[in-house]
Amino acid sequence: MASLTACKKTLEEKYNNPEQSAVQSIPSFFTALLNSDRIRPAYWNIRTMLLPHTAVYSQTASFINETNVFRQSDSYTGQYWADFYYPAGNGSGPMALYRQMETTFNSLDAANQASSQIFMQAAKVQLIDQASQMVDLWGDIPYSEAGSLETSQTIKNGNFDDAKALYTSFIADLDAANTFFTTATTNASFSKQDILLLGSVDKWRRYTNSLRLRLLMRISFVDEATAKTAVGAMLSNSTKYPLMDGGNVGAYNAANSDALLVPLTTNNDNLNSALTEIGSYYATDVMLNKVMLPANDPRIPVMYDKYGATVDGKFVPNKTYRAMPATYTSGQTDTAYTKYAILDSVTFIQNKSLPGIVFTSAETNFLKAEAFERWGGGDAKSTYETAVTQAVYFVYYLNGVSTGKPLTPGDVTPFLASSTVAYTGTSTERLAKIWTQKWLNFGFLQSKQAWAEYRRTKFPVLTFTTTGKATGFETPPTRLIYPIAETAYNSNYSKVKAKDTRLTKIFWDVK
Amino acid sequence: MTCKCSLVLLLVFLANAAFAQITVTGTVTDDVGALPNVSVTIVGKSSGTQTGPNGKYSIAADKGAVLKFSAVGFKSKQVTVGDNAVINVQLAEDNGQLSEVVVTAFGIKREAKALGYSASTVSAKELTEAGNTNFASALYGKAAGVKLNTSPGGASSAVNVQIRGLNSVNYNAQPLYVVDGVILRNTGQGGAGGLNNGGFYDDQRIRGNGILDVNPEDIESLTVLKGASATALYGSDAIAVVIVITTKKGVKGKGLGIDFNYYGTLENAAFLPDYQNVYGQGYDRATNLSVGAQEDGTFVDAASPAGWRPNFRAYYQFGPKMEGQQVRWWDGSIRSYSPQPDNYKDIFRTGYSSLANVSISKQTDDLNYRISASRLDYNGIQRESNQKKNTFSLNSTLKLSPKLSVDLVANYVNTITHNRPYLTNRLAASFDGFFGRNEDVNLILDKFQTTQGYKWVPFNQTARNPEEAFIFNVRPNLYDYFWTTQVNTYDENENRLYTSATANWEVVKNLKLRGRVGNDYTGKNVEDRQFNEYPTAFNGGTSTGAYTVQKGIYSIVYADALLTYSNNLSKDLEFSASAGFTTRSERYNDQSSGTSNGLVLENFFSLNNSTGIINASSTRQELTKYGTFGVLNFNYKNFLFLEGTARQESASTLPPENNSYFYPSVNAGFVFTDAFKSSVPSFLSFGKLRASYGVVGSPASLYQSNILYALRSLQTPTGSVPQATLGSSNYGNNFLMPEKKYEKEFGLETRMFNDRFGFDFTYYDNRIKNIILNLPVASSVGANTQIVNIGEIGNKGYELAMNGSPLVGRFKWQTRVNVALNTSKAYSLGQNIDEIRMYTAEGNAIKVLVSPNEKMGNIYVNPLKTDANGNNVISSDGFHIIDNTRYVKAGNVQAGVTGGFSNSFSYDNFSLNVLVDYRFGGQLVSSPQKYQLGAGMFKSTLKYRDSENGGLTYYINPSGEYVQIPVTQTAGPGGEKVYHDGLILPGVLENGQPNTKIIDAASYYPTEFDASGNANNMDGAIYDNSFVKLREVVLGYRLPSKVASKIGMSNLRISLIGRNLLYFWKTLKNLDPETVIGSQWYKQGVDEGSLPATRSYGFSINASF
Repeated sequence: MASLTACKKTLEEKYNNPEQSAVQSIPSFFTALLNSDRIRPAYWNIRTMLLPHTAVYSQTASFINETNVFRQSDSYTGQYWADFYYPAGNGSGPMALYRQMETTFNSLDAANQASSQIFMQAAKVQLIDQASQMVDLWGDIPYSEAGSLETSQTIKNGNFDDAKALYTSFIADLDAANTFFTTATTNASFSKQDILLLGSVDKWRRYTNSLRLRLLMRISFVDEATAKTAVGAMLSNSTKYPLMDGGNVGAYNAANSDALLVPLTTNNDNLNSALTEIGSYYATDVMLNKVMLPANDPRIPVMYDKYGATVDGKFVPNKTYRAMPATYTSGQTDTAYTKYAILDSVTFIQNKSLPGIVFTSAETNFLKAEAFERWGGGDAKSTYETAVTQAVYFVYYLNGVSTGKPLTPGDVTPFLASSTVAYTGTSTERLAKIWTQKWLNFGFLQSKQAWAEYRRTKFPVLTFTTTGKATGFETPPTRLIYPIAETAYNSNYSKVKAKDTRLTKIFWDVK
Repeated sequence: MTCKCSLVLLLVFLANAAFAQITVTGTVTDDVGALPNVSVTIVGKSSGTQTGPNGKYSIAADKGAVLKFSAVGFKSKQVTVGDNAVINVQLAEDNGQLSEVVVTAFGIKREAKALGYSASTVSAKELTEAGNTNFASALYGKAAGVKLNTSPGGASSAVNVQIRGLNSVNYNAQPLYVVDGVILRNTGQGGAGGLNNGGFYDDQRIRGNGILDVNPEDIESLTVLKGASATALYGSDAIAVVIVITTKKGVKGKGLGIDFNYYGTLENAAFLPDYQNVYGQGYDRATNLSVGAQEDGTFVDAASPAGWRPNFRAYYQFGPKMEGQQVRWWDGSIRSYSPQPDNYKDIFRTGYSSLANVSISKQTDDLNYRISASRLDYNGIQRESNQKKNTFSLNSTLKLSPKLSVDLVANYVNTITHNRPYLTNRLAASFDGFFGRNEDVNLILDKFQTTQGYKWVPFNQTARNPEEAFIFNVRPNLYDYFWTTQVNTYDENENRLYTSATANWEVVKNLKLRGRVGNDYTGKNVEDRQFNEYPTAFNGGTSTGAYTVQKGIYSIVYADALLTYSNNLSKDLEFSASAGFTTRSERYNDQSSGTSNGLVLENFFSLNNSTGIINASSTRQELTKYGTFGVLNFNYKNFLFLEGTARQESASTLPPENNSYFYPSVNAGFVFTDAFKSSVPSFLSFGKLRASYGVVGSPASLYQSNILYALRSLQTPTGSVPQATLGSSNYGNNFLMPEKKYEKEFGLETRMFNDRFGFDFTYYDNRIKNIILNLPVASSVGANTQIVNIGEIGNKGYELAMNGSPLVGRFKWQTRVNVALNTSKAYSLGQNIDEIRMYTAEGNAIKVLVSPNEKMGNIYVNPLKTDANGNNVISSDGFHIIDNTRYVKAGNVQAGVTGGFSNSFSYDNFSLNVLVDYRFGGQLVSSPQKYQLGAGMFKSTLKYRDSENGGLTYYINPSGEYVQIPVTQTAGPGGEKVYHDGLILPGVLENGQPNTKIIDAASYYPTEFDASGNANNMDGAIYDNSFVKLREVVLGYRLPSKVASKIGMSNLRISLIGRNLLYFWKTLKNLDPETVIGSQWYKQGVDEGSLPATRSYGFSINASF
């Protein structure tokens, strides 16, 4: 009998995988939630999600004008979708981890719940950041009822929450988070586990408010009244609503001020493969030829390389920075590419220290400038100039993290005074400058934001070659189609199926 | 930790009685000559002997005792010992292939006559005569209901075996292999995934499985035990049938018996696609222009004598006709633009395999043994790929006392595999792998590596090697394929030892105890060297090249004990009861370490040479299973047999609450020809009815249902930070239960007309309830799948094996036919689940499903849009419209009917064996076929391209419309250019009017067979897959014994052998029917581009000394 009991015990011992743990730890889940290769510039996200989709639709990276270039890849976008809901391979699965944290939190006693609260709030902010980007890509998404496995270990399909209602709830939740952070204090565990903002409650608060500002401005054309009131309340009370704004100083230090997910020290990868595999490393027409060159933008030498051709065994660089016309055919690209500039290798192609850009001070100031321009309440011009200067310093920062020897841009005054940059003209022209400079600041690394703002504002003016494209895919979409990974199994899909076309507009896309 | 469980043994003293005996000797022959290995036993006694190589035997027996002579493949004969001490016996071949003794579960030997369930036995001769490198691929067509698929890639590639349909939706359900009583490691035991199932993004090497290590030359007999009743005793692992293998033992003879066997065969890529050889690279006119080429697909090139050069980047074949024009090639040379009909074949080489086996055997009164050594050398058709395998085996029996004997079996296998065959998936399923019909593969073979030993230099990386850089852009995959398979190396070295030790003890009269321990241990080492692709001077932040080492240690330790009591309850009723215990623990340890971000120093292969942090991983997996079981047997008057079994099983892979479960079985055999001797017709010599019912429980695979968290330490600038995330994208389930299979089976066996004809018919019907399923869920639910018990599936089918001897005498003809018909169906899948997508392709326009109340593996596809009358609806621009709103059933991935037809002819010393096997019904999903159709690769795509192939003549009017004109007209009315590649798709426009729109062939094929869901997937990617194949032909000559003995041999046979020679008929035109590789059942109906199939031929020598 004793031996049979021993056998039974052996069975139980071997049930669990020895390479994994049964311990549920909110701090460790929190770190995993932040540690996302959908936020860092990791190969797969850049190569399969941004470069063939959002960077094409926003012209923030070059692309080969092939038949299906505007056609969405269901598997690539489906992987992005899945990575939001569970750790499917590249993202952290913030939804599943947040639900898991909630489940664990509910099992704690009151004292432990209190000390865990800061993790829960910070995780919620990060979840909202990622979820709002999901809404920007797809519209309605399962959110409030998502993650039933982590909640109850059973399968329950969540409804697709209305996109607009989600934005409203995100804005309210972020306000609540700001209130929480006002009185919260950090602790040793949070400082250690917070790999994004290193346990700084102040930074979390600023990030929370800046994110809220982004969402409010996003809805400002569809629901101007709400946006105007809430933004006005924020911008008029910087004590209650501190922002991630780099102290409103143009020559700021991005590493100290911005929300950046720095690479692990073990990282050795760079974007070389991602950028070169599908022809994404050529300088882009509108950005370089039309926006930067006329203004003699100080970012040109750190963002681009003149490139050139090897002639008789010797590399002959091109004389000037120039981008190929966006209308080039693939055959033209193949033969002419050596005559045009490409992305800078130090800043982009071979920079293994590129951080994941969560939020920059420049974006905050661009958002503020737009609010001031449209609704008053502040000095739009100086805010815009701070934003542009910060955007310049940001690219120099990116260049510097690669070499360890930060460059400084020098005097940006002439650049700010150049006709295409200077804050002059009609209000429409001034807004166009804000939006164009913001689009430039986003670039391909933040091309999800660039595409969303392009759809919201319709700036900068981009033209896309429609000839030679597959029928039904002549133009970029205005949203992504739901991936089969969701539609095949979520019984609630039928309720949103009618809206599921590539040319349906997201609710904030009304201009 | 090993589970130490012991049985209480009964200690009983032995008694031994002596009898007055004489020594009987003699020779056993068949109609050709001496028969070795015939078992000679005394009826009612356990002692016995075997005939030696010359057919001679010697046995001590009482006068009046009955000697029984039996051998696999022959009808046994009983002779009573009289005054004559010499008894010569001639045995007749058993045409029914009903071997007298069948080794059943736990090595329990039972008379075939007594079985109440279906068992097919295949003899050693059948397994080895055609020179198969493994026993599984030798089973083709030889046992009813056994469906095989040998992966392309030859000796090192896995063999998939499926018997009686499907027993699982997700799990790899290969049969359980038991060799000399010990469970053999095959694939899928260490995890649920199986191998080669992931398609494009999966492992690109064609993996092998564990059964390849069993040397066919060492097999004495192989029995397929079908049906739950047969397998109930082996427990859960046997849910997909058991194959019981007994290896050869020592044979009694004068001195040593020595056998030598050799075969050598050559193999070639065969059954290749039927390519067109008229048009070279180029797109349709609009695309040609959009890529910057001229309308006909050429680029103006002043450096070409012809004034133009082809578009080497084009993956379509609608360019100019190949007529030997002199043009500048991608390497800068001037070459003829000519068809290269064999360029696909030229990728591969002629392979060979060679196997030599020597065995020595001896039997004395106390000891018998057989030692065998084999060497296999295999060179596959993939260049630079080979395998060497050394096998040693020892099988011995030691008689410690008349009541106690010990069997010791040990097999050692060393396998060295160099550059395991690589899939051609990247050449077949990717446009980057398509090369022109004008491309000379020998040129690519010459240029894929630079003279400095680096990888070929693309046109836009000229700085790396200005002299050798390509001057034009090409599609890279074929160049990369050669680099990967010929420069990079991948070496596997595997050492495997599987052994068993069995003690048989006759405790007292009628009571026997048997104990056994066995193990199967594998140590594996893999070294993967990827060479630097260009000089490190051109490195960016990272380098190229890589070095990875992997180590695996896999171990199965097995033990069982069996106590059997048998007695006669009365004169007419025999009875036996057995009780047993079995336990097994498995352990799989894997480690892998590799460089990251390339090698610092070029081509220096060491982990110390890594640019980035070394990638290292280690996994441990362990499981324990044990069971207690009992068997009761009754035999009434030797014509009614009844057996019942019961088993209580426990498995560590299930949640503790549900990890122990019970199941029973019962079966009966009724020999009606013995029961009603007087009333059965005289032509019927044997007839038996069988019936069985059984249950088998089956647990989940390792670590599938636990809910755990994956820990990892992150190295951040501020130190090491721990993170915990979900353990798996398959969410666990701590309430998981075993699934259970319920099977009933009925059979009828007969022999008639002096045993010249016989058949064995079986009907089975099984249900698997509470199936364990990785249920796919919507991503938003929080995982990819969850493991659940849900639904019910089942299989129904018939198996018929017939045998006949149409000709007897000097010219003999024996024939066997077997037919199996199986239907696997899902009965329910739980609430609200309409379908489970096992496989989808082409943007989900094609899906392979498991749906309630449908056959498993039905293929659904978006059809062409039709109107109410069934006419195809044509779009305003003249193409078919795909109806994405609905799916139609386009077939099923499972074959309907499978079987074989074998014929043996012999005349004196000549013999000819011809084996044909066939498969009817079932479809294959092949996206690569569609892509190649769209690309204009196949001969069938010549249709419409010119007037000779039915193309319409037209010109393009100023508004862009195609206007048909007579073929003789050389210009349009306005002097427009005339084209001859027009076609009009039959059908109606949306408004109901007949379609009259002309489109051009170069637009038609790419649109019709586009790589997307918006294409004619029905006709382009789904194909009937039925065939009748000439599998094996063996022409043998056996030297007359007298001649053989003069050169010191007792037997010498020389044969010419051929395998996979030809298809008498097949439905697939451009693909081999057996191209599939994945081990999952649904992947057996999906082609994703593997190596070509091969044809092989050679010779063999079998000699005995």
